[in-house]
Amino acid sequence: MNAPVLQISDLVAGYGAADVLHGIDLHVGGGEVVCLLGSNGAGKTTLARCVAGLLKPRSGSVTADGDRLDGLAPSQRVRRGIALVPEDRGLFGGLTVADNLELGGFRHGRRHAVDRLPLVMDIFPPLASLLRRSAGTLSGGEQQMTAIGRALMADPRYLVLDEPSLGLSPGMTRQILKAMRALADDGIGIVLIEQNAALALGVSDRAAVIQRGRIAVTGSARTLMSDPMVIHAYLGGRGSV
Amino acid sequence: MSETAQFLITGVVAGAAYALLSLTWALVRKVSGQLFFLSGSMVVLGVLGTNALTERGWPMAPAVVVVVASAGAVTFAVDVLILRRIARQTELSGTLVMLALAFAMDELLSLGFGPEPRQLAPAVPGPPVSFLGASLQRQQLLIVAATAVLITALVLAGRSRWGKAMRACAENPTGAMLVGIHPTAVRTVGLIIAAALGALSGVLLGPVAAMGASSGFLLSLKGFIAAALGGWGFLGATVAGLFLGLTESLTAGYISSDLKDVVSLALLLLVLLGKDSIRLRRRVRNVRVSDDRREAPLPSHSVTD
Ligand SMILES: Nc1ncnc2c1ncn2[C@@H]1O[C@H](COP(=O)(O)OP(=O)(O)OP(=O)(O)O)[C@@H](O)[C@H]1O
Ligand SMILES: [Mg+2]
Repeated sequence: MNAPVLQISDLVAGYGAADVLHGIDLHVGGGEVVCLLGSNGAGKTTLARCVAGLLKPRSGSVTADGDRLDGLAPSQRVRRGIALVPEDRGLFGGLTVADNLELGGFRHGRRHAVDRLPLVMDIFPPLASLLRRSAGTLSGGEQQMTAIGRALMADPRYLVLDEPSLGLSPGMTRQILKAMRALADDGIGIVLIEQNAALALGVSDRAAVIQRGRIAVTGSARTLMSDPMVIHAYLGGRGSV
Repeated sequence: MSETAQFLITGVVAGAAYALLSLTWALVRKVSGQLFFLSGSMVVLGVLGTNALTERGWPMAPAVVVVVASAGAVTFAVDVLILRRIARQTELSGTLVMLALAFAMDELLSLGFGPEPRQLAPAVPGPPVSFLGASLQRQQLLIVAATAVLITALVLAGRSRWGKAMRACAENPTGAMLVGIHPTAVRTVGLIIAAALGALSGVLLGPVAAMGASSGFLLSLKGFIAAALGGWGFLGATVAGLFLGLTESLTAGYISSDLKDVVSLALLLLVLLGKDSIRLRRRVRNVRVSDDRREAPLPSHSVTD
């Protein structure tokens, strides 16, 4: 058995003629939260899409526990334990929250959904009263909980979250990040793409800053919190959280 | 009284037929966002294919199985070769390609089976039964019963895991991929079921109406009218199909049979002008239709899958 790690190696990807990512190396182990920071347009979402199989990289590779994922469709990657909560949340607006969650475990069959649902309810208690609502009518925070809950229904080994705090209050963000930390402590590897660096670094083990498609800085979350560039660009010039 | 009963019965039988047709449209729209102009051709294939095989001495049952399977296979081939490739294009070009395919299919049917309309032998022979003073062919009873069974099955299937997966693909193809659904597979399965349903309708209707290669287009159009009138949901399509059948039959009975297509085409105009007839859709939704929803968004498959 290979070490439990999601490994991104020398990944080059882009749209049309232009490259957006120019050789990204990044890994996340089981039980770890890796925070990925970067300004708008740096390529964070592009990287997430490559990991999930939504975008075909031009070169480089993504492996999960030693298995190459290249060429696998998103649906096949879900089966290998990769889950992405996309930036736009990707919910099925016309279906109920319960249906959205049930479909999250689509790969595992009917029985699985029944077993797994209470676990997700534990992490996001507010969902329990929203199950009958159609997902399109939820507030931003409720949608985000549904989206993350749906991803968790697949019982992922690696979870990529593309800006989960988008549009959420600091309180809500804190709550979600805390839940993610707890999931990592249970053994899941999490890539946390965030703009809200102060909060995100607080729950992360390691972090990387992506700039114009390259990893500019990487290190432990603690180190990055005191990195002058990170403080200047992401922590509003203040030295601590 | 017995005259009215006769018109009503004819209307219900025609309505059952239109309901089946409109279900094929609703299903294809759900899984692919496309307009299934091939639906009428599949009905005709059901009639002509079954007729050709039974004339060669095949028993009914295997003939039906082979014909229904061929309809599925033909649609699968058309999907792989053409429909899938136009899925990302605009609705207009997709519609034009579908129309062209339907005409091509009708010409192929004419080439393969000859241009003459054919009628099938009834699956349930025997004298007509009388009902409320009207006489009812046994085949007509079979049509209504089989339609009820097929529609119930489809509605139940729509509420199953796979039905939800189909809806998920129409709602958000990317989201569907991310939960492990293969949108291309789902749309192919949906198209094949629709084609098979079309051919099966042909087998059911063949004994009460003669159909030939040139019948396909008007049948398709009737299916579209009912589906659009019903708001593209399964139950809505069923109700609208019955409504269309009854309207036609009463018009033909009390006014003139020359007017029956005019009436349904006038309904088509109403549908198009009224943007899928919002009012009827609401009413249908109020009787609780879980699979009836807003106009299906045309999926934009942004990804190689
Ligand atoms: N579908 C696309 N076609 C062409 N270019 C794209 C596409 N999607 C993204 N880009 C470009 O790729 C670059 C990286 O985009 P990406 O979405 O990965 O950035 P990001 O780091 O996620 O930014 P944000 O913080 O704003 O979400 C940007 O310059 C963007 O304009
Ligand atoms: Mg982004």
